[in-house]
Amino acid sequence: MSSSKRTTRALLLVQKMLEAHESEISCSECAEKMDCLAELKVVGKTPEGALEAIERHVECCHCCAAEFEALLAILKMESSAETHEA
Amino acid sequence: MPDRTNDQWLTDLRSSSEERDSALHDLRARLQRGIFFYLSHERSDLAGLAPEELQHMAEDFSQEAILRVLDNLDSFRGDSQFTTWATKVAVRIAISELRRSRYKDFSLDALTAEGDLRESNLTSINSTPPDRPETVTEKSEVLNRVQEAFREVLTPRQRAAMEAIILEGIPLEIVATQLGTNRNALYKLIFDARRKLRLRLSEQGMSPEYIMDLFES
Ligand SMILES: [Zn+2]
Repeated sequence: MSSSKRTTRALLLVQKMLEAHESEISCSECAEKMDCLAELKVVGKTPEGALEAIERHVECCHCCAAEFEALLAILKMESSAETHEA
Repeated sequence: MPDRTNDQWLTDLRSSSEERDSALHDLRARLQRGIFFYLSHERSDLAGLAPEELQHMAEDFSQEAILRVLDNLDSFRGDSQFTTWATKVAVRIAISELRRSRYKDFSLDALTAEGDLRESNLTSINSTPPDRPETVTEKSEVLNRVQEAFREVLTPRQRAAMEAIILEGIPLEIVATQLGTNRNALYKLIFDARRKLRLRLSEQGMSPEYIMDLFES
């Protein structure tokens, strides 16, 4: 890697680090409650309190986001399958 | 598939009769369907795999999830539907496995080996139009400060980890393994580093906007 590319990367890293918002929730706490958040989201409700904090974590943690989006996609599929059956 | 309440799921899965077999059968079908949907609809990186292969993966992940669910029945508090909770377990297993196999050749040391950033080629970052001499000086100054701040907040290895996670989107757990730590601790490290970096740079009168403007102009 050239040194100018490294410089650019360092600056990009600073930018990304500074612009990201913060969530003090850990990934484990997020994992514990993301099923509740996903159920709320499937029915289009806005999370409050503890679940709002989980949502903030999901927004700034790309790993938890991937897991949450996967769960949400499956729940939506299940809920539309149930609507079709009914 | 019969609709069970959360209590029925727990009772059936804890029983030692036909109810248990039937509950396991239904749970397995549910998880397989969900994971197969995820693998086939939500993962463009797996688009080259045949449906049978995805189905096979879905079966494996679901089987592992069932074992974990059964081991952890006591930790289910009933805050969500039992099937949602079990799907969450299965999703985590599937994604973790996929991450491990996708990044099996990733090496943090390769990133660290690139060394510290240097300012020698600073003027070439934005070579058109060429910077005025005072801009070059200002950039060099800011870059030194940024570098100092980084050194204060992170070790070179931690900074490489940060680059891997933030710039390249490498999953936390992959980087955590290579750092000999865990995902929670690594998330905390990033969180603390962000806070310290922000504080340190703002103490020196350098806002994120100022820094980026300087190098983008
Ligand atoms: Zn997380």
